[in-house]
This record gives sequence, structure tokens and C-alpha cells, in this order.
Amino acid sequence: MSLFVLFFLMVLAGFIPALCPELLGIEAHPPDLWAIIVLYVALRSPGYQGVGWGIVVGLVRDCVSLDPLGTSGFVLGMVAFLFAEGRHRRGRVDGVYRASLVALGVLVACWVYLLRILPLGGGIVTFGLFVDAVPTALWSALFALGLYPFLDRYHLLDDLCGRTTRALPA
Amino acid sequence: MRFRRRHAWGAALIALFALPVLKPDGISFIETPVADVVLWPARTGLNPERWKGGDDGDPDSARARKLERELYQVWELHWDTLTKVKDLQRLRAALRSAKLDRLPKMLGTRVLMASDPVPTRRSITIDRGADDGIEVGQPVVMGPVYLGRIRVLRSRSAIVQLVSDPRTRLEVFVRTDKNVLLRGYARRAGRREGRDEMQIEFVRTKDRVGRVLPGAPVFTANFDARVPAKLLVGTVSSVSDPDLDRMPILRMRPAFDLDRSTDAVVLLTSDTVQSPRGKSAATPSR
Repeated sequence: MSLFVLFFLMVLAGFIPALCPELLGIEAHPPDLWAIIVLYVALRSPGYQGVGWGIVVGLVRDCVSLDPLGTSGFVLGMVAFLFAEGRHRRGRVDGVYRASLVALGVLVACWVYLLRILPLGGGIVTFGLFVDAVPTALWSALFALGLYPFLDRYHLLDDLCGRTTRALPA
Repeated sequence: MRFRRRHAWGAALIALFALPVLKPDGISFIETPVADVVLWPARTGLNPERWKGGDDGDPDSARARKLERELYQVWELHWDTLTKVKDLQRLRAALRSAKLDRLPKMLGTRVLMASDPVPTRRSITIDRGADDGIEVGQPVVMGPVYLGRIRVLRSRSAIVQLVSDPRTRLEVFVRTDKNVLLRGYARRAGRREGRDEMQIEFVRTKDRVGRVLPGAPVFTANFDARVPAKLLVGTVSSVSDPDLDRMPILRMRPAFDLDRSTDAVVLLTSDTVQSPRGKSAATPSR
């Protein structure tokens, strides 16, 4: 079921900019649902288990965008790697702390993308694009505040995060 | 040093960093099936009308509601067809003004996705692909307005790079107040008031050609055999001081409006030029 939910969220991520209203500039800076999905898995998975799913989500985004294969795969994989638990147990991350990590993660994702395309295209990265990432990160954090408890409550992505509960052996 | 899992992920990320450099055109046999699967909901057109509640048991009211829905659908189809006919008439007038030998073949298409998943890129995904005979580089228009060119081609869909994409470089004509066409080069220049804006440079104004005023139309130039000239690109929103160096920098607002319609037209042009004797020759690629 987690794979189905992941597929649904990725399809929704592609149509989020068209669904956002003009109110408060949301349409100009829609939440980055791709990064939100990757950060949820990275923050909830033990070790570096979320990095692989970050790469997969990034590659799927590359398949439906103008960028060549590997661009978003590297960006979202890097974000998952930076926000993964790693070797040291971090404990449960939730609430406002998790939302602030989401804001930081989306900011990092936008900036890593801009730095990544510099050697590919050149001449199109301006300071304004770096600043433009800030409202996107804020709206993404707000969106995550509503989405993440829903995913937690119904364990919709727990299989991907390696948090399936299994019956104890007899 | 022990080889740990984080080293493996680091190696994978390095490989992904290098992949766009090694394969700048992508890997079609991986991207095509994934794109077809992700775009399948948009292609089937999941209809929210089907999610409405059932009737309250009264057969007359259910029939009345059904007839009302059919009436709205027919009315919508009527206005949609009327809009398409007007757009095609305006497109024909624009292409005739370019004095082409013959009008290009056209293929109607529908916009599946009106935005690029990456926030800084500008593209649309259409429901026509290589199976329908379109090729990379062909222009896409909405009425007489130039949207962009096909950049990524799959078997049943394609991604169009819009004129407002950061990587688009477009040669344009700008009309002065004395009806003279000046050549310039347009590229994206950020956003203003929530809308994308482009910058036109290298427009050389001389005596007697007039001045470029805000509101002046901007058209495609004859830079490529595939893109017909005189297609509307946008309108000038501001002009820098022209007396400074006779090469003012113009700001342009693109004319396309993706909220107005989901129908577009692909112009099935080719890059071979017919010589007067009927022999074709390929134009040099840019």
C-alpha cells in the first residue's frame, strides 16, 4: 500500500502548481511536494534507508520534467542523505520541529538544484532565484504540518520507512 | 577504512551527479515508461462529476438533473469549438502575414500538465508524442501565440519548453511606433507582480526607425526554418533609456495564458528548406 500512496503523492505533486490559489502568492511559490515526500521518508526512516527512496522520487521527477535524468535524483537524494538519521539514533521527530526541518530541507533542495544546474547550463542562476526559495520553503512547511500527521496516523508510508510492525515469534 | 552503507549512497549520488553530464538528452527507455505511468491519470481525465451523490429517489428530479448536465456539456462543447475555430483563424492570419510558401501541417493537442515539476523551469506536457509524428524542435502555438518548442519527446507525450523557461533563447522582432521591425534576442529575466518577465537585448535603434514604446508587440523572427515568423510572443512592458547607447533593454511580458485554454496546436514543420527548383536541403543546425 505504501507504494500506491507514494505513486498517488507523486502524481499529486505534479499537479500541485495548477491547484494552488493566487492568494498570498501561493501560486507563484507552490509547496514542493516532491521534497516533502522525500523529507518525510528521510526523517522517519532509520539509518540511511530513506536515501534510496529520495533518489527514486527524484528520478521520477526527472522523467516528467525538462531536466535530464539524474538532476533531481541527485538533488533529492542529497537532501535525503543530509536529513537521514545516520549512525546515531535521533529519536522521534514530529511537530513544529519536524516542520522546521521540512522548511530547511526544501530550502536546501532548491539551493542544491540551483548549484547543480550551474555547470549544466550556466548564466541562468541569479540571486533572486535563491531568495525565491524562501517562500516555497515556508509554504512547504505549512503543507507538511497538515500532511505529515495524516501519514503518521494511518501509517501510509511506514513500509517505505522500514517501520512495519511484525508479530513477535512464538 | 570500512566500507559502510553511507559510502555506497555517496557513490550513488556521485554517479547521479555525473549522469546529466554524460547523458544530457536523458535515457528514453527509462523515462518514457515512467512518464506514461505518471501521466496516466491526466490522460484518462478523472472526472469529478462521477463523484457526485446519487438521486433522492424521485425519478423526475433525477431525469431533470441528468438533462441539465447534458445541456451544460453541450453548451460547453459549443463554446469550446467556437474558441478553437477563432484561434485557428487567428493563427492562419498570422502565418499568412509571414508570407510562407505554404501553411504548415498542424496537429491539435491537449495540455496534460501546465507546469514543470521543477519550480524554476517552465514547460507544459502535451498528449501527443513520437507515435503521432511530431519531432523535437517543432513549435507549439495556442491560437496565434507562440508557446515554445518540443524539447523532450516520448512515444505518447511530449514536453514543450516555454518561451519563459530560463534556458530559452529566442530571436524576436519588435515593432516600433513607425512600424519598423527591429531584431532582438529574448531570454527570461525573473518575475514581476507574480508573472514571468523576459528581457530583450541587442535591439539597435537608429534615426528614422522610431522608438519602441511600452505595449509594442513582439513577434518571432525568421531565425529557424521550423519556427514561422510573426507569431506573437508578448508585449513590451518597459523600455530602458534609449538615448543611453541606442541599444535599449526591453522588458517583455509573454502573451500566452495557460489558464485560458488547455488546447494547443503543434506545427509540423521540418528543418529542410525547399529550394526554388524543388530540391530540399537541410538548414545548418544551431
